Amino acid sequence: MLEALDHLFVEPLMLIYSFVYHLPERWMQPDAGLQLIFFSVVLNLMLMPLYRQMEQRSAATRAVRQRVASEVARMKRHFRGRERYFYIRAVYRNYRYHPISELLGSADLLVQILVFLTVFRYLSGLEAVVGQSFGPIPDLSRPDGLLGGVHLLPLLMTAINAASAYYYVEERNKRLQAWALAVLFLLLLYRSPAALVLYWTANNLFSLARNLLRRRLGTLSMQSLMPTLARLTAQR
Amino acid sequence: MTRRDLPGRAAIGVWLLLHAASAAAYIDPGTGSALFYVISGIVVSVYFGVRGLYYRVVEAIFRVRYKDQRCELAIHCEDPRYEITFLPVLKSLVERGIEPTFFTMYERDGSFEPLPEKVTHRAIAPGMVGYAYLNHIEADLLVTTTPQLDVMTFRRSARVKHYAILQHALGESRYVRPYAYDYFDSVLCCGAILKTNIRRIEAIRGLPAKALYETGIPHYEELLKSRGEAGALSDKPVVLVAPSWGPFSMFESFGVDFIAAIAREYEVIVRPHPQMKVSQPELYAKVLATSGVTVDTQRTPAGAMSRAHVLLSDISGITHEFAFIYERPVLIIDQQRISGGLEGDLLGGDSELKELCREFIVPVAPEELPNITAHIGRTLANHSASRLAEVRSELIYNFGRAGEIAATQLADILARQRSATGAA
Repeated sequence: MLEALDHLFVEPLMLIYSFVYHLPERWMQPDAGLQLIFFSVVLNLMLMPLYRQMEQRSAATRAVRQRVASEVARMKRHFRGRERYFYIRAVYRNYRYHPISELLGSADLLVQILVFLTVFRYLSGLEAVVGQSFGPIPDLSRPDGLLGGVHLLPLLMTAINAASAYYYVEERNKRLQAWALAVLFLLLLYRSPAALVLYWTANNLFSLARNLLRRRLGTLSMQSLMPTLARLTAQR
Repeated sequence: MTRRDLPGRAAIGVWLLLHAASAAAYIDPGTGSALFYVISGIVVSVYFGVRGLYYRVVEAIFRVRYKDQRCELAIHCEDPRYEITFLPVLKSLVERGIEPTFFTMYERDGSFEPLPEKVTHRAIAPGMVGYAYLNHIEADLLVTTTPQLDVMTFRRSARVKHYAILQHALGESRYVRPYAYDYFDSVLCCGAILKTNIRRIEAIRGLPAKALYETGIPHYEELLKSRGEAGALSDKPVVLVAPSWGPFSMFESFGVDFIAAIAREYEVIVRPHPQMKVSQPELYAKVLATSGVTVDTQRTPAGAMSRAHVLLSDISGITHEFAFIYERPVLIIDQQRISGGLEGDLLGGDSELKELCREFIVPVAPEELPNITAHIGRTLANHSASRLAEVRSELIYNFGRAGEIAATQLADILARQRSATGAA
């Protein structure tokens, strides 16, 4: 069963990833670092229309969630026990909302998990980066250790995430939440191979650059301008 | 990094994904945030499922086969005090050849007024068990005075085609609990304020417009009959002191000593709320022990009201009945009514009824209680029964004939339901 799902959904993605990663080799000498950055940019460009659609849907869901939260808070303020239970149920009914919809309605979340898991799998098994250097990074298959044994790339990635949260998340609590997640991500990825961290850093940089550009052009709403971390934190 | 590392890392990834919000951060920080909401959604859903299970089990145990409960017009009376609302409607329905089934959540003994012929009576259990029964009956139309259909344990039956609610008091959809009228198909409104406020709530909640009928308050007819049977008023003004019960009642807030001050100038009848005997027995005993006044504990307030020139109360429903039936003035100790969580929260502002009735239901600030005798004197002197009747006609639909009007409207709804069934 799992194997069938793997063949159906994952293997085609692996083929696409492989095609995108190796594409630059047609016109340049293999360079794992540059190819990873290229891979990140192309993947982001390919996913952009999909993410935009998902962001629009999220905005509508978010508005309903806020109204529900406000009504539920009002019921909790004034009622207890049985009454409170039934009134909250009535609030959910009124807004055609159910807590489980957080799961069922999170198609965007599932897409993102699928993309990140498969990219993770692809990059984790990428023999092409073993022993390959990129700039000052001696081996992309190992943590970078650029600052006298301290790994620079995870710190850079975290700094970009923190800056995104600072610029794009206005609500204080959500900004703190975004920062906390950035720190957590730093801890978990700190000892990861440089290739993986380089890919995610490039992802975040791409988003930041795109959003800065679009904000200047003023063509999109604030929400759709946000880079992944900041955007999702603000949405939720 | 080699392929050998992959299964282990993937397993860690999956484990983290399944076990905690922080796990998601391993995949991506933004996704981690989203996962937090998914997980909290699951937890809340499970809580709701478990919590609701109890009510579902009770309903499943007590539900009976719907074929045993088939009727065309079901009338549901939750408490004996609402019979006065239904009796004029039942009589008018029977006159129109309709044979309703009257479901009461209490037994009707010999002390109750006999039901008109052709009305079938069925006593059902009170509370959740009774609702488990009602929730599965089969009828073309169900009429009740109980609000919050489909909100608490009173749920819609899939086999009842139309639900209508009838008013047992002059209300404005302000001091009622949440979703009071939202899931009825029709509301037989007492007056224009209720109608307007229901439409406002529909707009606020984005609900479809339900049918709102201009009906009135059927039990006023019964009260008018009592008034007709009453004797003439005495020459010396009589003050009826009849507050509500509970933490906001006048006796609870200000004690009973002010009654003695009134009794020095007026004849006083004190009528403690019947519920006070149960819920506030000490205070009830204190009221009964008040000297120099008549204490009225009759089953209905009709006798005391017919003797009184003026009523002093607080937030009790008796104020409207006294003013509109007897056309006499009322003073209410105007404590701020808190609409916390009630429908008035959504509507905002203050009571429209209070504003429109202030000429004859006169609000008196609590700090003015020491001067209450002077206020009573002024209110009696300034009272205009004709002005009261004028306002009444603006506020209440079909005063004095609402039972007949309600029966006509219900017959009309019933006929439409039948023809819809026939057409189907």
